[in-house]
Amino acid sequence: MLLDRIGKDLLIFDGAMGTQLQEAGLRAGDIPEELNIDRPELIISIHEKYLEAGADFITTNTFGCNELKMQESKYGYRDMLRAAVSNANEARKNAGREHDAYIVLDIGPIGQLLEPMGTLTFDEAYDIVLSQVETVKDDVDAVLFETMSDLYEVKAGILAVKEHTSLPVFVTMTFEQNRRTLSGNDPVTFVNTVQGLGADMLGVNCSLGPAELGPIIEEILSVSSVPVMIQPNAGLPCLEHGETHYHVTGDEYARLMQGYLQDGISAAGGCCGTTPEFIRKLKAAAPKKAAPRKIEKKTRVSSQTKTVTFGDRVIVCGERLNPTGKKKLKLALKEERYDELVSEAIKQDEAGADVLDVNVGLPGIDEPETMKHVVKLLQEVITLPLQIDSSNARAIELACRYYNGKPLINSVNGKDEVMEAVFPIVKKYGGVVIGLTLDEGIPLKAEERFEIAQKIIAKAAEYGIGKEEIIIDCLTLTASAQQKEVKETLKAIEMVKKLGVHTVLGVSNVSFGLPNRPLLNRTFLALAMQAGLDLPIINPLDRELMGTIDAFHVLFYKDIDSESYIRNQSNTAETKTAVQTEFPLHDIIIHGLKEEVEAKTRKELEKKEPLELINEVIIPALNVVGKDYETGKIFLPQLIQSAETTKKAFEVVKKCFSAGANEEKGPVLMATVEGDIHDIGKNIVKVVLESYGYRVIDLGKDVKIEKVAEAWNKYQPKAIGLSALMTTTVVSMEKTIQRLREEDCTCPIWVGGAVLTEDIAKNIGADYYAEDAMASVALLERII
Amino acid sequence: MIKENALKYLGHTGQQITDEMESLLDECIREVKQVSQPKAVSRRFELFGALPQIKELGLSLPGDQIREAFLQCSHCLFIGATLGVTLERKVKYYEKSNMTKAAVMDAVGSAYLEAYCDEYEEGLGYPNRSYRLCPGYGDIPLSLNREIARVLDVGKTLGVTLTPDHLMIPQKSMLGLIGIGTPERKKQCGQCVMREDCVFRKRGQRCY
Repeated sequence: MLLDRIGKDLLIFDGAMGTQLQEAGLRAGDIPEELNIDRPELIISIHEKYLEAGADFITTNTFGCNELKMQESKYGYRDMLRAAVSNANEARKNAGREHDAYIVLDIGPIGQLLEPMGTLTFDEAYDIVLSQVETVKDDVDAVLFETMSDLYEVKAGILAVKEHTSLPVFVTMTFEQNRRTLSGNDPVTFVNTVQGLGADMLGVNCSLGPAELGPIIEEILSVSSVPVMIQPNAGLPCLEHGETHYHVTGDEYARLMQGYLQDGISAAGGCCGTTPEFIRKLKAAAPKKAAPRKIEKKTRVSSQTKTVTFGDRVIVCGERLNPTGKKKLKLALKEERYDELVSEAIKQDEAGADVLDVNVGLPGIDEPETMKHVVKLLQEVITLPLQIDSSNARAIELACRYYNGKPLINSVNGKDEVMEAVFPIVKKYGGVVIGLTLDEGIPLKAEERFEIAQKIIAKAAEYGIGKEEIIIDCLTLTASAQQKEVKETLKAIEMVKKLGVHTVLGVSNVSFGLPNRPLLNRTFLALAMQAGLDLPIINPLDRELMGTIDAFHVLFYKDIDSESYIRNQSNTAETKTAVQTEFPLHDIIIHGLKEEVEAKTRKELEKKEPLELINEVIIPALNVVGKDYETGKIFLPQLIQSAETTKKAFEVVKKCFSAGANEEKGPVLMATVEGDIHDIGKNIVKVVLESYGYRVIDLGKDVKIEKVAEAWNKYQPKAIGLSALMTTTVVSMEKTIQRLREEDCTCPIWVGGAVLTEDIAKNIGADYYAEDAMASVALLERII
Repeated sequence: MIKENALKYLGHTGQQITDEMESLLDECIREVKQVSQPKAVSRRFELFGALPQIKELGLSLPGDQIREAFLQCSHCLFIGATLGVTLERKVKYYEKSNMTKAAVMDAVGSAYLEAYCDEYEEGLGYPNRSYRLCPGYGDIPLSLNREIARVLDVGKTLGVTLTPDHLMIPQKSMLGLIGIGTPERKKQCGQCVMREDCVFRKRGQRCY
């Protein structure tokens, strides 16, 4: 059995396929996969040479053999897949290696970038891989995702294989010299995420030679509890007359690989520039068995580009993305104004949070779908790992599935039914889970909470979830109601830490109902950290609370030379007294002084009624800005800056209106049309419209025609704005308009974008054309 | 040059630049340079005939623009460059938190990409060359992006991918062609296919 050998025997992979094909006459731009059908004897002979050289694995000639990349081929991708696998089988038979050599289905990047940066959805990526795997799964021994640069795509691929086959899955990513993939993933984040998803082997290939890959390989070996494989290039690529060459010889290659082979690598082979000779030399140099490795298992959670490791210091979890007790957030969730959640996330990020809790539980909303949507929106912008906070198992599952990285899951408790619902999700998606020390209620005594922690850890083990994947919440009680029990929590932390797990607490619960809550919060936080708290869930915007953590790090020798403390605390006095000018609100808007506008607006509201302030100060100031822009007195960034400033002023004024009094105009719907990914122009128009008090429902970029039609029916907006930048996407703008007309869309449709003109707008059936943001404002003021 | 071009892309036509705007520009230039991971690749091919053709690829280069620009060229270069995906992510971040900065970052990114491409091109050592011609310009079909992308294998070498409509991701990327062997040819505003509708020209500016 292959799985029995992985991690024990040192197994040898084959070398480059492309290099061999080029030698046989493959031209740049030719499709190598077609040779599976056109020249099977060539492919078979290459596989045979690698087998004769000593390879245990041969990888099929199917690197780009998916439905997207092979659209340009004269053959269907499934036919080429079948031919490739059949060639590999033939070679194995010819070499007499049917019992000890393995055929690996080779899968390279899909070739289109996934959302949010790209347009391919996670589900589409999943389906593409699934279709490849389903075609040949009965005739291969394993699946290899190689030369990958996007972790999200890797995740979709692993799930596709794992959910439909029992084949072993191997993953290698390609790192640049800056130790990141082209999508920005770092080695630790890669390992942390992929081993969580259940890969059977992981490692690196391509891009660099064995010497240059050293630091990356060492890093992976030091954190991966999964067997590690490597397939470097034959040195660094050199460009000669526009063609790529590699200069490391087979002997040098084997010599350079020697160190890694002794260090605990489980499988080695070659990538670009390597040949059967390289593999022969490698095989000769390799010991029979993989050297044993010792890994210190640590608790780590990851976003796509960042990993937070527990144990070295206190990790701050931002608590503010939770509607409980927050009117504004509740309303935003109900009205699907998710921008507010994103800006709340950004504030916490800027304030120094390490992880963000995300809770969207609200009566009357579809929590699983909302959670999925919000997680996707947040990870488009935020690079911090997310803590998925829900008591709804379906919401947790959806969030984990679409999360890019290794998630933190909040939470399970001591009840069997809760653990039975959530642990399978934790295991499948490789998350870290928070366990609350309660079952039927919160036990009063530390010892009882300790017992529940033990129960949770034991139950998790039954699901194959290790201690390092669990963080225990000893639960904060409220001093005003259960004063006697507050210190039981501290005692419980000390006890639980002895179990070898990390701990978490929602800190601010302690102070409910008492005056000067921040004082109690930060005192309790200090005591809890002393007791061993690793993950306080707090408001990171509370500078003094954050300062307490800085101080703790100094006093507990976690902030060596007080570096962070000095950086964070040296200029606190300055930031408190930010320079304030003496401009009136009118001028603040004209000059776009974003930092000053909120305080000034509040001050003005002491003297003026909200409506009066809007009509007499804000609108006239905006009009000056608009006019200055139109006459060329100011230019685009200044217009946007004033618009953003006005938006802030409106937000302050809005708080003064009694509930029900809605001063918003609109709503208007905006979208960058299907196929177009350039949406900064639309976003500028949106900000300017918002500054004029319009509620803008922003559907984003590359918006499918159907989605615009659905949104029209759902929101019944007062106008619909469509944007397109390229001539090619004006076509889909026209189709969108046609579709809207079929839906009896009665509201005016206006269009804009670099290539549009009044004439084109008319030709494609739009009602209006607007040249820029100010023209859009003028238009809407006129027609709505 | 980066600052001047960025201002041009932002529609600046001589308005007074406040101190705040000046420092925002400087900050964005610093940040764009810091988060960009500029990378470029190129490959040279021999040209045949007036069409012209690249026999090695079995490819005829389409359109009048290329034919005219490559008239005296013996070879052509396929060239690809990008500033990487991290910059794109950063601009997205600012679009949600500081739209003014996002717009300036975007313009600075475009200017930086141009400057980087110029520098890369200069370093290739072909003094007698045409200017860069990119798919989407004039009668060069956008779909030629796909050919260039495949030949240069930019997914693997640069991390640049194309959408089904042939648009590049990350957006601050470039795929293009340069003719070699011609006496050096500079861009000429008056001969540009965009001359009738060009916003820069209307403002009395040049795009280059």
